[in-house]
Amino acid sequence: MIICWWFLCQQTLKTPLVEPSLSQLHPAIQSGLAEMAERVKSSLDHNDPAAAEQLGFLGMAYHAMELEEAALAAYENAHDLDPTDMRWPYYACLLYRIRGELNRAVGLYHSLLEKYPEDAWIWMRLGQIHLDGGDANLALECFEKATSLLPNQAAAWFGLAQAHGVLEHPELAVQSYLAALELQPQASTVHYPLAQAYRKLGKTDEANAHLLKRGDGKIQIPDPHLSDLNDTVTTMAVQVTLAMAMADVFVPKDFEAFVVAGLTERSGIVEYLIATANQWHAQGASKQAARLHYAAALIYQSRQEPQLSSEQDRQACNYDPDLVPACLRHAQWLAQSGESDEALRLANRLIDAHPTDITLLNARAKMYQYLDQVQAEIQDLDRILKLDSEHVWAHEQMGSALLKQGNKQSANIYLEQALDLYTDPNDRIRVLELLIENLVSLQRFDEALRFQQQALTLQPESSAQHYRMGSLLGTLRRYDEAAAAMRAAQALSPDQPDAFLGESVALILDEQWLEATRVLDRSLEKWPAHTRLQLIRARIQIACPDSTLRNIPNAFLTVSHMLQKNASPTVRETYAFALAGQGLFAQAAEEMTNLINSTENQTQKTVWQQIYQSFATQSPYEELPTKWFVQP
Amino acid sequence: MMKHVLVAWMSVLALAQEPWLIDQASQMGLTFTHTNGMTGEWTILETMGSGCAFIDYDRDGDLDVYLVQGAKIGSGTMLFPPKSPLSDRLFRNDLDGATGKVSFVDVTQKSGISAAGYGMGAVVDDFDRDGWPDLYVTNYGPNQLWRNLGNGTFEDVTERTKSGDDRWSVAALFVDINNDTLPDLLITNYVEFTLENHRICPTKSGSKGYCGPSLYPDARDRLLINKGGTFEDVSQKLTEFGSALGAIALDADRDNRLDLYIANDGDPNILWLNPNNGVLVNRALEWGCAVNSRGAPEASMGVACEDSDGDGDLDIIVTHLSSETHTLYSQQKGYFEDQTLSTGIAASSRRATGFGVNWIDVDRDGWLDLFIANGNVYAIEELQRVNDPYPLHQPNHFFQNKGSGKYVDASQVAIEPFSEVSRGSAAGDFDNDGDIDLLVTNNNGPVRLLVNRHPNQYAWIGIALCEESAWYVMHAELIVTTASGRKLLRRAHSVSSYASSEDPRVLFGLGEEHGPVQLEVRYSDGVVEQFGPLTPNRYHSLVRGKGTTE
Repeated sequence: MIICWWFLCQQTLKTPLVEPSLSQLHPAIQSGLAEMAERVKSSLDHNDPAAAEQLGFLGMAYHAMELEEAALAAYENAHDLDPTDMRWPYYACLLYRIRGELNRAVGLYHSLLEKYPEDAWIWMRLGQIHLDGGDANLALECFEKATSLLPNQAAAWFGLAQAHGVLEHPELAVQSYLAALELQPQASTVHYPLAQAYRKLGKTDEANAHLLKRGDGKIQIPDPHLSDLNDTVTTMAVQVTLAMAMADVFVPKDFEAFVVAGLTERSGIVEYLIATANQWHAQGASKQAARLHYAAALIYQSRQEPQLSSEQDRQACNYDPDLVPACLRHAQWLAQSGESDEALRLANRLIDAHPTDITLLNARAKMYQYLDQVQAEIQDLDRILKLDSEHVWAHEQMGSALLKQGNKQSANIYLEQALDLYTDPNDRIRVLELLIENLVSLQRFDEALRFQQQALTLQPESSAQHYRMGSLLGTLRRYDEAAAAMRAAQALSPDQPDAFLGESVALILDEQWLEATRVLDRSLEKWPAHTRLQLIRARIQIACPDSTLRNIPNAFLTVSHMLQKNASPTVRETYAFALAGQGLFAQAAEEMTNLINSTENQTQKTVWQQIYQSFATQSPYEELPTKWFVQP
Repeated sequence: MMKHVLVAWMSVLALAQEPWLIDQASQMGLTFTHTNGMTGEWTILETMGSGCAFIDYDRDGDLDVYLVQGAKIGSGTMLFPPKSPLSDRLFRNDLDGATGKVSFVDVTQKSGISAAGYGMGAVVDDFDRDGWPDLYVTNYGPNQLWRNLGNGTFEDVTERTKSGDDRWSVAALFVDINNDTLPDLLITNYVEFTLENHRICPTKSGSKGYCGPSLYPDARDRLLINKGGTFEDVSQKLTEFGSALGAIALDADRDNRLDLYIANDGDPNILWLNPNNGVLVNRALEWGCAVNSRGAPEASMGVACEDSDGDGDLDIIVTHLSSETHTLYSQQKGYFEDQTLSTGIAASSRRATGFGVNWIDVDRDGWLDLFIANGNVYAIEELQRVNDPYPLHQPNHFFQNKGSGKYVDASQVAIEPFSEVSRGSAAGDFDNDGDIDLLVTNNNGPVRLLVNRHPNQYAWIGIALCEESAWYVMHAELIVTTASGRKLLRRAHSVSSYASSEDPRVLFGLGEEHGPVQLEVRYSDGVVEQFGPLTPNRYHSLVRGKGTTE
């Protein structure tokens, strides 16, 4: 059919039309293009003045399908037939730019400017062509003209800035980038070339500030001349979407990919899809209508409008309860919105229909997790693992769920499985941390240490991992190694006091009083108001077995000051020791009485009563059964 | 008489029209066709391979060739069935020194190399410092390290040296990260693609098409430290990663320690600065080489690094998708700046998707020209519409450097108008005639050996710079000073371009200057050494430590 009209047309057109092969196109597109070609032929046969417009529209359709040669031939003929319509040469220039045929584009833009000298968009397009061609001076003139005609258009300022940049005018580039950003603050990519221009000016602080602001937002170019072309692109994509939705065999994955890639950016498209879905539903084609609602849901989701997306999923699921992806997405939305009963009812129905679908079981397990229904979550995870014994997420979640249930021994087995299956270091670290915490709570410190070593291998530059290693080694009474691990943590995060505290505790437990004192003194120089550091230092001064390190008056002074700001039980207990150290046993005993009366904890009461007895009878306090340092 | 005039005219005409680079692969016995293993499933994997390498494996003074092969994908029937079993091939160059005649012989079987994985790239370096170039082959699947035994055969030492990686690796690079003189190994990985998570992406017209990498998770890169026999995995130092396809090493911050530049497909590129504390820091954004001048990341494929504008520092070029430009990051007083728009490569580069990229002085005028191996990754609608079975092919590009890094598109006069799906490209003087030639691989197509036939008779000098009792020096900067004071900077390297390894010797075109030159070498550890005067129009074998140092 195409061949017939093509041969006929050659008699009346200056530029030979290009016949594209359509056989590989989607049938919906093939028939659409064939109809358009027929209309062109008919108009040319009848010398219809609409022929130019129809040729232009055919060009746009080819353009939308990336059939460049055919599109260019159609545009050129349309332009020959109606030189007053600026759309066809304008669109042809877009293709010439893609094809690197800059001279042809420059010629056409200049001819357009003769007719429309005040059209800022033509100036911008021409400027871009000159930039591509390395003619920055010519580009500069174009963008200067564009900014004078459309001073509120960010794209014009951005082009001007780029031209200034190429011409080594950093100061003017900065001004123009700032103007673009003022008009389009969301165009966060602009911060990057702006930072570059600042750096050229030697303004490092400004450059760094803008680098930090850089994002993914691109400059929007709301060129009104492109509206017809954009509409055509949309129309073609819609035709394919409708054809896919109508097809007997529906492949959700292909449909999803096409809709998201082809339609997300198009305005007005969702409304059109919903209206068509309603028509189809009214005509009894509910399954097909459901697919269009699902398409609308996908577009809303891509536009980050979850509520509208969910509403479309709901409609799709209503029209076709077997449309699993839409129904599942709707169930997940219900669960997130607190409508858990409805969510679970829907998920149960889907799983009853598809009992071995791991995606569905997975989704329901997540709902149970969200609803804190641990036993039900465990059952779903168990079903998943029976279907796929290497489902790593299910192993990890099973471990977490069993931990919630308090079943720590079994949790370990699943977590270790997850650890074996994960390859990504971030996943492995997450599981390792759970495992280590669990093993510590089970007092299986040697095993915990083995996993902590793995974590450290994965993150040798992590201060937190070294700190955890130090804590575990301390628990295992490997104090030397614990102190070394704490020092490694300090080297990586010198501004965090915890590792310094940890080292001092390890040294105290190793009875290296002098070393511990040095660490504490150094730390207190950095963090003079740090409560725990002060308290440990004070207790050494009060009760250290090495009497040369004692300094009770100083400790008393420190703790008295602390008490004014922070009367916590630990501070008050230390204060009592300081009083006793000064020989003020009666006051020390009174302080302990107050502490004893302040707690309901029997174990604590017993310990404090022993201390009270010691103070009341003026016995040596160094032997008292209390921790005389404060655990970090 | 009339007949003789006509013949003379015809030959003048033919000479005038002869491209500067002419394919002579099959004439020289280099017969190899890459098979991408496609079975009609439209996998991203089939669009990406494969690279190549120049490797003088027998150290007889001429460059041999290693070509990387694909493999069948999935369980279907291959749409382009190969004529022989699929595996990488090693071709020995039997250059006749007297006549200059080149012939290649397939010695794969003799060499002991058995590389039948889905091959992506080939890396040549002497990882064990025994003086024989070894070979690291990157694959979609387990990589292989082939140790050159020095007797014409290779041994697979991947397991023994702990240098493997089972993911989808494309670029790799031997580079001494810790300045202990042993080359460490950087392996950059692409994406976590499997046949299970494979997706088909419809084209604008709704027909089946290829998906891009963004649908798949990025694969982590890997860094292995050479412990003198085995490698130690220190990959945790690489705290950032993207869909990596290219990698080079350079001392960007001039601290006498090599830094790493990684080109990522769709993600910002990475510049790992390598300070003396063992902690790598990505400074690509701050240094101006992460994204283009519009602030956007691009689909980076191949990468090359040389002094393109003759200002005495190294620049970087990264090839990209059609509709994007290739991006030329020019070094400017300690940082990089995207100068693509002022170099003249923007307009043409929008037309095609570039992979391999080589800065080569084809006309020996002292200015580095630019070859780019093109081939799309998405089906080209116009080719698909005419039932082209593999609708990705595009012509390659050649940009001639007219001086100071200003280029003109000279594709029509410089190269033959093949339209193929080109991927790897490696520069090397395989016939030792003092001009640079090119090896180009095609996805699902024949290898091309582009012989330099440029008519210029300008002078040249070749430098073969070795370590004492070891292989060539890598990653050094060589500066030649001519009698008139003109300075030319080139980089000694092997890995460059896309998944490929080049001639480790350094070739300088000297333009119209025919007098002796001085050579200064800045080694990557900061040592500077002088050689010369050196006579032009020949190769000089120089040994580190035999020159003069200040």
